[in-house]
Amino acid sequence: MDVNNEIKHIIKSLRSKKKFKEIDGEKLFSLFSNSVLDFTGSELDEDSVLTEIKDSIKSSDVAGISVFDIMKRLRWIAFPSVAIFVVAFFLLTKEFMPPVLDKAKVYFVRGDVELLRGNKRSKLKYGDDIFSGDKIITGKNSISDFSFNDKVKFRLSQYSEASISRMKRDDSKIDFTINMGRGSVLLNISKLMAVDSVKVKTSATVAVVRGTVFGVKVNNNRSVKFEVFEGKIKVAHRIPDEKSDFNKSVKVKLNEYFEKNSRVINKNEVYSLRNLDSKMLNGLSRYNIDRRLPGLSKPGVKVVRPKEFEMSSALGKFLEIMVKKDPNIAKDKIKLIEMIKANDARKREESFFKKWRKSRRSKYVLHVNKPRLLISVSSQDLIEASDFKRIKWTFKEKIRVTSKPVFDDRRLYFIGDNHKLYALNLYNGKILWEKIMFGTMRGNIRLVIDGDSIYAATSGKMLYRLSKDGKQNWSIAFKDKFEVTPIIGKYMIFLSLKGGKFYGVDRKKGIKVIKVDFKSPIGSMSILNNNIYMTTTSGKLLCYSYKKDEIMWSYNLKDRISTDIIADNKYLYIFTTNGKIYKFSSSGKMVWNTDISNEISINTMKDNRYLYIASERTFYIIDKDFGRVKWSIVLPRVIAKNIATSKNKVFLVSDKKGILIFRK
Amino acid sequence: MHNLNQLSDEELVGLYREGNERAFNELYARYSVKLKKLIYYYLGNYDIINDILSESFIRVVKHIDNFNIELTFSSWVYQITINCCKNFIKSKKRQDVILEKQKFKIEGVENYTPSTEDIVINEFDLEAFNSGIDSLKDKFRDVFVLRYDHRLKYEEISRILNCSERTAKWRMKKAIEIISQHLKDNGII
Repeated sequence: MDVNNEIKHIIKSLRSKKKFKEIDGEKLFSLFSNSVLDFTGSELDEDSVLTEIKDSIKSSDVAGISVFDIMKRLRWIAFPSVAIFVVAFFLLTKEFMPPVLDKAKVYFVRGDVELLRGNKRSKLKYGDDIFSGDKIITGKNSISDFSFNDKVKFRLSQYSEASISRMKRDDSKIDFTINMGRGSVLLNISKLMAVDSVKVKTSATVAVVRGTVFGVKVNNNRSVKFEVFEGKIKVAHRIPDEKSDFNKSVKVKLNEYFEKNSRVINKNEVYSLRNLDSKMLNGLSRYNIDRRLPGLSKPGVKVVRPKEFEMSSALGKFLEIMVKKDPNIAKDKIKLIEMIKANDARKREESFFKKWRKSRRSKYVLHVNKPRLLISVSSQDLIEASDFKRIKWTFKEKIRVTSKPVFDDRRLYFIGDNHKLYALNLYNGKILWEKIMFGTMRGNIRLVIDGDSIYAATSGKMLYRLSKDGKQNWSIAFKDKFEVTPIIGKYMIFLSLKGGKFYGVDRKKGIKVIKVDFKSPIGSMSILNNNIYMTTTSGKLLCYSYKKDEIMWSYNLKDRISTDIIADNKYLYIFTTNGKIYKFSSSGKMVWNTDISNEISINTMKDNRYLYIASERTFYIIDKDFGRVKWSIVLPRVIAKNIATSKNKVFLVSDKKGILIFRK
Repeated sequence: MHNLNQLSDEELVGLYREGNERAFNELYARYSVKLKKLIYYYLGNYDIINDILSESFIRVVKHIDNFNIELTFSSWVYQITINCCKNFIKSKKRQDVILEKQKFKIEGVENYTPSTEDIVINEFDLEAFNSGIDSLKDKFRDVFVLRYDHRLKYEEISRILNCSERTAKWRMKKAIEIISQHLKDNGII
């Protein structure tokens, strides 16, 4: 039976056994059928052995034959022997010697790079040869690129120290090992054969490589960072050099342990391998290793997000030089360079955005979905819009923003202290139009927008309706000041004035339709199904039906309320300044109440499931159904007058950390 | 003139007995690399391969007239080589010299060009495969090497190792089982 068939048959019979039932039989067979026992036969001089055999036969008539017989036999080898001798002679002369392959070439040097060969120290130059055993040291802002047989290209970054411990190439395989003492090395390894060996060692780690592009950085705390840009590598701890005098059996067991805990690092992964404390290995011997091995801490591997690639920028430059020097070799790397450049740009942008948002001390923060913007109105009234990468536009007019800006799909509106209502283009921050008003905005009163109009209840006791292109539709004067932000119903806009006076104004004609005096100042209002829900400063929650002109129900909360009521799908949410939260049904039944015991003075935001509440020092997320705190986080002091939300994020502004972004 | 390439080993032995030195060269060419491999895997040391090989061939020459042409030359020359190896080990033991035995090394076959990802897997797999072979006891490894690497028939293996064919077959099966167990323990298969 053919050997392969026999192995297949044996594997099949093995798989019928319980313990081998789940093995990967195909892979096992593939290992047997696609492998051969390695033997470097070429290292041995076969002809010399043949000559030796014949010499022995010749010198000692071993087979009991005469010298004449031997001579007779040897005549058949006389000619080949002479031919072999002649060929060997020519091969041994320099002209016929094959080129030395066991060296690397320096193809780029910048700055102060030294070569240490034996005890001799010299400055590394372009074109120098590097041999096994050489040590290279790079200084500040210095780098050096090397190429070993076009298969292994590597760059040493600044403040690095590396020695080449193995660098050998014969016709069949490559054997390359670089030992990193400190600093970082970037490697671009072409596709290797199974027999090839390329390794990067540090004092206590080893990375085994096939074709790949990756970087290794030895940190000051001796931990090692591996960043893989292409292909994959396998990393493991190794016995530190200072422990190389271990007994052989100890070495075997330690190596097995390290091998067991090795990790494969794939493309776009970054791993940080903690330094192996050599003290842990003190006193290890073959007598105690079995006992102590389980106590050895597993090699600590920290997974880092790919965007934290530290060496990508250096790698991009390294590859660029490589392409420049030899466009044919690294053609396939152009795509990677572009990817790295894009990645770098993204990182720069992210880093800029992070810095920017941390430095903002905004009094208002807004999130716009389209165009995607984060708008900050600083305490110095500088309006900046960032697209989460860079500053998209800035509005620098010296105008104090008197109310929280509002926006629609194209414009941002606000009233300045110069009594002007501004409409800015959301895409570039340019003023689209401005309209002089009588008065500014005061307190928590905001502009209100509906489908095609904008309403402004100014401090000058005027209510304006303007179309979105800035044309005034109508205006009405009132005798008293506005207390809260107007609310918009289907046909009317509702206003609350000083002393508890309540008005309903026809939206189209600008005529006062309803006037009610509640005799108690109104703190906030909301509308749901033809009913107006309002809280009074005395702590009452009222439900007023403007169609029936009667109070449908009221509830005494006995607490002050300074934030907006949230009306949402048949339910109302009320937040008192003392930190109590109530959920009422529209019919006046209290569903739940909860106490966070922290002052709530910033308007709350909501989504389908949660309420987002910021007290001065804590941020809460509360389940709308049951009133339970889903999570909360202690914050630096919140300074913005509002919270902004997007689909997935919540934005707050604190005094110490600027704009904070939370994932919902 | 004979075309030596086309002759069987036994025919070459016959020619050599008649004084044809080229027949010996041909036999040497046919077996030197195989035997070097065998010696290497028996003793695990490059430094002594040439010595053992030359000793084996000297013995072949010395006893060539005693060789029974009815039998296969390959098993005879393997047997001689293994005996030389065993003698060498015995002599070293007597001198209290410990041979630095190198590990087995497995490599992928040349015409096997898997994708980049596969190569990485193969490298690690091969390492485990190596250590699996390394963990075999001598009696299993001898059969495994002769059968797997030298592709000898069990009939020849049994003659070389002086055991029954049945035993050789069982040892081969056991060797594969041990290697498989090793690979399984290492999470390779």
